[in-house]
Amino acid sequence: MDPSAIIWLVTEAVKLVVARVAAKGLLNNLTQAQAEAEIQTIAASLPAVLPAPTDLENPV
Amino acid sequence: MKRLSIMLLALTLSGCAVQHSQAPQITAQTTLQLNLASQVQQANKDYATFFTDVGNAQRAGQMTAADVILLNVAGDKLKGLLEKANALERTYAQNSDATLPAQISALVVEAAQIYASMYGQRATMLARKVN
Repeated sequence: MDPSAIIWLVTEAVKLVVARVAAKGLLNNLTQAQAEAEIQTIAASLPAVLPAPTDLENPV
Repeated sequence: MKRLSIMLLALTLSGCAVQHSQAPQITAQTTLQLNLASQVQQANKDYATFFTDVGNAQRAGQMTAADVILLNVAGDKLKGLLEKANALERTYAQNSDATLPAQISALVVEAAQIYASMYGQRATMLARKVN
């Protein structure tokens, strides 16, 4: 097992954990009405068409 | 390496789930809907972050054009899965059709498996360039 590859994977794991823990803390504090509104907000924010990988790699 | 990839898969699937026990003010049905919506949203963010990082790594000389092309093949498949999940999630938010959560979850799981594989591939590519 390549140590450098392990370091990259662990870095990715830490980034994922930090993002999820922060989001979870916020969602647990919502009221019922806020939770229902949040569902609608999230759904409305989801794009029908996503940028292709090449568009993300080479932003204008 | 395999164990780490599985850990990444689990993390990707975990989303930012609200626990009903920690948020009893939210009904179980709404908790399910919110968790599903946040998982789909997080999968979209992960997709954007992953390929933005790939572009940065290529410009920094850490990845070859061939590496990027290889990852983009998986990325194109992921893009299609996420667009389907997004469409179903938008429908589910408007109409609590009981069949939709399973369909959306299946797409999120499939996307997470692709992520785990891509993370492993990219880590190997980056490590090769560093060494």
